[in-house]
Formats: sequence, C-alpha cells, structure tokens
Amino acid sequence: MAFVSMKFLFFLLVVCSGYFIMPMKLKWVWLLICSYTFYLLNDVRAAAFIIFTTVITYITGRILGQINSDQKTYLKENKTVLSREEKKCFKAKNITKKKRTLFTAILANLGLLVFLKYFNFFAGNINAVLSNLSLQMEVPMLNLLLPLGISFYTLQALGYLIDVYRDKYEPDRNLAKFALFLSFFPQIIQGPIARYNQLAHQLYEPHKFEYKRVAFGAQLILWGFMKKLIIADRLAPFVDEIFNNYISYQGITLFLGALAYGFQVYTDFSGGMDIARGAAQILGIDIAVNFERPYFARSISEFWRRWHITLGSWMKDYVFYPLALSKGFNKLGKRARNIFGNYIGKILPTFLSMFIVFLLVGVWHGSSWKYVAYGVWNGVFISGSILLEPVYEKMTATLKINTKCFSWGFFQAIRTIFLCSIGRFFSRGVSCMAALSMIKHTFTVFNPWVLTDYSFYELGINERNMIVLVAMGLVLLVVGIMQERGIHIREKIAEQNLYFRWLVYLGALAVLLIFGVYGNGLTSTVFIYQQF
Amino acid sequence: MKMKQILQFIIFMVFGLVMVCALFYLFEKDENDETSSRWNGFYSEAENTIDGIIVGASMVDRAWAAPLAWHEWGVRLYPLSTGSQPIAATIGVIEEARKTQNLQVIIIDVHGIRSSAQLRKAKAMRNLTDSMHHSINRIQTVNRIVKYSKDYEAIYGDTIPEEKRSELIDPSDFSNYLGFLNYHSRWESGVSEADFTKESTGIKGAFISPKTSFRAKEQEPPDIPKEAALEPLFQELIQEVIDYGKENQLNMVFVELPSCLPEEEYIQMNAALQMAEDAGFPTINLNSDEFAAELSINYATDFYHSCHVNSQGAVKITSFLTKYVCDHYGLGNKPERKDSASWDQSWEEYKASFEQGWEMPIESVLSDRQK
Repeated sequence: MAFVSMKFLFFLLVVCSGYFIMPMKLKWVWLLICSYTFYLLNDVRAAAFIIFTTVITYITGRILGQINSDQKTYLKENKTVLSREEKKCFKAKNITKKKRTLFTAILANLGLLVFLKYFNFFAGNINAVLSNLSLQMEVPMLNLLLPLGISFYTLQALGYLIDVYRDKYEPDRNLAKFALFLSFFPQIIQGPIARYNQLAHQLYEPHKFEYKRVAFGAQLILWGFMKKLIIADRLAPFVDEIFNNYISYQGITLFLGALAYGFQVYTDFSGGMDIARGAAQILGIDIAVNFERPYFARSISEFWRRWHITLGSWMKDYVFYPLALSKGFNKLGKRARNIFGNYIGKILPTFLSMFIVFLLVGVWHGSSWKYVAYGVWNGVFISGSILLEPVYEKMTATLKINTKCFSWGFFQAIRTIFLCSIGRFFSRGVSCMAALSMIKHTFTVFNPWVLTDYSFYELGINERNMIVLVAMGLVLLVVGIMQERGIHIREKIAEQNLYFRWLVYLGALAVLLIFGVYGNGLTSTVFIYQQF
Repeated sequence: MKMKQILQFIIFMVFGLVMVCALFYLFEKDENDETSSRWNGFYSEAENTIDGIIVGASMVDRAWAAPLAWHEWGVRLYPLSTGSQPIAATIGVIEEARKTQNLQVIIIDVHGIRSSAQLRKAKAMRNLTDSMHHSINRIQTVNRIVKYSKDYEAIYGDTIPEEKRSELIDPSDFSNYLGFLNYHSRWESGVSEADFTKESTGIKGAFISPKTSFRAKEQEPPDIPKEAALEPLFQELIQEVIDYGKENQLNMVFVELPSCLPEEEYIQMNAALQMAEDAGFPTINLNSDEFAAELSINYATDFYHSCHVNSQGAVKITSFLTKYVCDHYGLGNKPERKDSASWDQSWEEYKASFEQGWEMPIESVLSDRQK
C-alpha cells in the first residue's frame, strides 16, 4: 500500500478513527494490529523477517537487561564484601558475556540484512574474479526477497540492542509492545530510524483526540503529498531520461539531470517523511525529524547533518564514536603522531572513522559499486574537510574573506549543492562506470546554450510543467527560509484569520489535486528510499 | 473538541467538498469531445420530451440524423452512442435515459457484439461512462463493463496481443469511477470555455464532420451469410439486454445497421438478432436483401468507411427507420409538441451543414428516397 494512494488515506482514516474510539488500555494494541496489517498488505511474505528480527531483538534485550540488573544487584549486595579488583573482574566477566550475547544478536539481524541485500552483489563480484582467473567455479545467484523496510527496522533494532547493552535504558518487557516499536506503520517503509527511548513510550501511552494535533497532522500530510506529487514525480521523467540515456547527453544537460535528481530525491524522501510524521502526529505521536532543509547547508558535512538525520545520528552513535574511541584507533592515532606529528595523530581516528561511516552510509543505500563510490565521494569530502580545516582557515584569512556575511554563506551553499549534485551521479547513475562517464562528459563538454535554447523542454518537462516546478520551488524556498528563521509555519498560519487560513488550506488542496502527478487511484510512483 | 471547533470543521469540510466537486465537474472530461456534447445534449432535454433512443457504437451516430427525423416526421429519437461502445453498456445507457424520459421505443444496433469489437479498451468505456452524470447507474454501468472485461480476459486472455494489453480496462483502476483522476492533467492543454459551460451538441447527437461526413468511399457490398453463431460469453451479454427489456416491458428493436464487414462478423450478428427474435423482440437487418431495396443504400456513394455511412447514407437510414417506428409505434406527426424550438434549430443547423458540405439541397437526397 503506497503512502500516496487512496488506499492509504482510507487506511489512515480507519486507523485514526479506531484509535480514538478504542479504550485507553487497548490503543497500543490497535496500533500494533494496524501496523502489522499495513505491513502484511504491502508484502505478506516479508512478515516472517520482521517477526524474526523482533523476537531475536526482544529476547536479546531481555538477556542483556537481566545481566545488567544481576550485576547491579550483585554489586549492591556485596558492596562492602568485594574488593575493587574483584568488582572489576566481575564487571569484565559480565561485559564478555554481554558482548557475546550482543554480537550473536547483531550477527543474526545484520547477517539477515547483509545476506538478503548483498549476497548477490558479493556473488556477482566473486564470479567476476573467478572468471578473470579462468576458474570453472561459480557462486550461484539467488532469487532473494528484500523485505520492505528491512534496512530501516534492522538499524532501529540494533540501536535498541546497543543501548540496552550500554545500560542506557531497561529492555522492553512486553514482546507485543516491542513489536509495535519496530513495526509502527508510518515509519516502517522508509524511516525515520527511531530511538527506543524517544518513540516507544509515545506508542504505548494512550493519546486522546486533540483537534489542533489532528489539524496540524493533516496539514503536514498535505504538504508531503504536494512535495511528492507536484515536485518529485514531475521531475522524475526528466531525471529518468537523462540517467537512463546518459550517452545521448553532455555538459550542462547532464549536470541539470544530477541537480534535478537531488531535488527529486529530496522532495520525494522528505515528502514521504512529512506524510509519516503527519500520520503519527494525528495519533498524538511525534516521530523524529529526518530533514532540516539540507540544501541550505554550507558544507557537505552540514548537508549530512540536515539530510536523513536519523541515519546520520545512528551512524554517529553506533559506528562513529565506537570506532573513533576504540583502542585500535587510539593506538593508530598514537603511532601516526609519532610519524606525522601531533595534528595528524590527533585527527586520524576521527578522519578514518568518518570515512568508514560514509562508506557504510553509501553501502546502506544498496548493493552496487556505485553506492560504494557514493559513500567514498561523501567520505572523501567530509574527511578531507576535517584534514584541510586549518588550510581553509588560513586561506580565508589571507584572502581577507568575511566569513560572516551573506554572500559567503550563499557561495558556500551553492558550492555544497554543486558537490552534492556531482555525488548524485553515483547514487542515481545506472552503474559506477556510467556515473564516472557522466562526470567526465559534464566537465569536458561546454554547452551553456542548452539553458537558453529550451532543448531540455523536450526531455520530459514541458514549459507549463516547468512553470509549476519553478512556482513550487519558490514556495519551498520561502517555507525553508521561514523555517531557518525559526518560524513555525503551521503555528503562524493558525494565528491568521479563519478566512485566510481556509483559503490557504483549500488552495493547497486544489493545487495538489490539479497539479499533482498521479493517475489511477491517486497512486504515484514508488518512493525512492522505499527501495533502499 | 469544542462545539465551535466541530462547527468550524463541518463548515470547512462542506467548503472543501464543494471545491472538490467543482474541480471534479471542471476536469471530468474534455468537453470538446463528441460523446460528451452528445450526452450533455441529452441531459439538457426537458423531461419526457424524447420518444426514444438509438443505442450502439459509432455507426449509430453516423447513421442517425435526429434533426431530420424530427423535421420530416416529428419524431424525437436521440442517438446515445459512443465510439466502440460495448454491448455490456447497453443496459446502463437505457437506464440512464429512462431516468428522465418515457421511452416509447429503444433501437439497439448489434454491431457491438462482433468478436472484433470485443477487445475492450479502457478509452472506449471512459468515453461513455465519463460522459454520464455521476450516479449509482454510472457506477453499475462501469461495474458491468469491468465484469465483462474480466470474463473476456479469463476466456480469451491468451489471444490478446501483448501491445494491446496496456490499453485494456484495468479493473483495479479507481479512475474508472472517478474521471478526475484521469483528466486532472488537462490543465496542461488548457481548460476551455466548454469545460465550464458543458456545451451540448446543437444537432441532437448527430454526427457531422467536415473530414468524413461529406466524403464517399466505395465499399464492396457485404456477403451476408445465412448461418448464425455466437460464443457463450457474447450470448450472455445479449441475453442480459433481452431479459432487462422483458423485465421492464420495453419496446426494444434490434437492428443491424448497414456495414461492409467480413462474412464471419455477420454470422455473429445474425445470432444476436436471432436471439432477440426468439425472445419476441422485432429485428431489422438492414444488410439483408429483405430491406436493402427499400433502404436503397448505394455502396459507391453512401459510405466513407466500411463501418460508417456518410451523411447521405444517414439521411437514407434515418428516413427508413423513422418510417418504421412511426408505422409500428404510432410516433410522429405531432405538430403541437412543446419544447420544439431547439429541435427546429437543430434541423436548421443540420440542413445548413449538409448543404454546405455536399453543395446540394438535402431535399434532393430525400426526394431520391421517396422515389
């Protein structure tokens, strides 16, 4: 069941009506039933996988929680009896036990994800190597099912396990409630990747009908639909044409394709997030914000702090810090300090961890070399910026650049958009080699006249559609600027006169209905991130 | 939720509903389309002022000059036809007409039963159903066509060429019921005045096109076989219409309008006519020797296409059929009928178009017939 469909709107109406009618104690049960119904309606076969992850994670969480609690009780009871060394020894034993338990669960959850998502990628590459070595062996390619949302709920489950391991919170004692945490329908398809301590209690607590929340939620859904149907799906034919027939295009046309894809994927993904957040908000649940106007970022690292925020913060907490603060990386830093000096020694663990994080982010998107290259592209720029930070500072000081003024910020934002757009060649290109070829032909052919001879009107977006895109782009820009200034748009509109408010809401609905790109049953194209 | 909020919410929803309905109305269908204007014309007729309807595919409106039937015989027989109109739509069309009109005769052309016409394209269904007003009957009409389409695919699915599949009716397509989903993108080509005013045909659903109506293309006279055979699924469709007619005690006449088609197609239409006749309904096969002489169709001058007569052919067919309904159903010759202005106007318009197109008076064709 696609988010952008009549079926989903009807489903949401049933869920919300049922939720507010349901007795307080049963509200979370209703949500669980609805979430699993939603998942089963999307893909019945995949249900076994989410149940497997849920059960494994729940049991492991309980075991880890038990170890934590036993340790606390034992230490408390024997506070005076045990020596410091004995306490240390006991803790170390427990940590080993916990690590084993955690790694088994990670192996099961991540192993399943890696197997389903990357087995054929590895098999293909191994076969290529075997073939180059003229060996008569072949790893069979498997027809594997990739369950909907597995990349999202697996990370959510792992985050929970690591937090319980770290004794950040108590494990969930109710399997059904925990199943709801992993399967909550607005976020199962494409996130955001929720944290247990932020979401779970909201799901389990009953929420009463609140007019303002329902109205705000509905407005957010409308806004999400507008982004997806008016911008993202309108850009899709143009982007598809250029990326699928990249050999036919050169220079600025290719760059425009990459730029358009960037905006397509932004409006598609963030539109989907708005729909998810709006749906949850109607039910009284706040789910994490996943986008904060990434195209206003002044650097690639800031872009990634604003883009797919929950993935970034997950990577930061569960990959970056554990790596950067690990004994191995510390040792590496010390060695580097001896060889390359203090500065390199100090930043090397951060640099390497950051690089690995972005490599993983790239690979998380899919099983192809192009995603590896996408990760490397971002990793190189972000790690590079850490490494070269003193050089930049010197440069701006030497050139007497006022880094506080608007023009410098504007320049940085444009530079970031440019660099991100080049990176898009990897994430959207049909292959890694295709992406490299596109980059080459973008920079080796000079054809600025395509901007004025209207030739790109023949590539899937005609003049009238371009007008709609520009108009909606302006709306998006104004909304973005207002949000950057801390203005809460929905609150602001709610303060206006009734007539104006209704004009805005009904106007937005009319614009969506007329200019939205949809067909049979109000269905649109599949969300891009749903495929990851 | 406070009382004030509930009230506000209800008013807002009413406004929203009105706006959405207005958009649905505006973008329902391209109103410059021939079928839309034919249906708009039918809907604009005053209640109980139409004597009957003639139902079928495009050959019906090519063959039926309603203004002529009115002018010459005082008969108001309105064509409710669409290009490739499925036989499965017949009951829905009659039902729609019966909502506002007391039909004394219903003429049904059986060309839609041919197996070559059975490959049901979504566009053919939409042309019809999107032109009808929103109602339960419209939904039922869609359901009937969709059901038939499913049945057809279940039996003959293997014979459907791959390249045609995308054009077929998709039973899960919600826009079958709500045309807006299909037509909202018409903003790109511009919304015309006709979309707002819902203009209707000035010539009471008759077909006049400068490109085809005044052109003659010689056709090979058809060989009409004696055999009759129809596959069970198509028999069911005809049977449903027959049962409906009987149930509602309707004066239905099954006709086979003149055409020049392959022999096997007439075998199927013969079977359909035979079924109607066996059920006690009158039938007229205008391709048979029995009526050909009286009809005096000229295969050299009266067709522009193997399925379609030109306006000269239309004059002949209209004269013949009008005379038939006058003789058998006591219609016509009612000079004092109310709401005649628009019908008189339609004759003026039709006559002017005819005479401009052929560069001869319409009376010359009429007098030929009378001879």
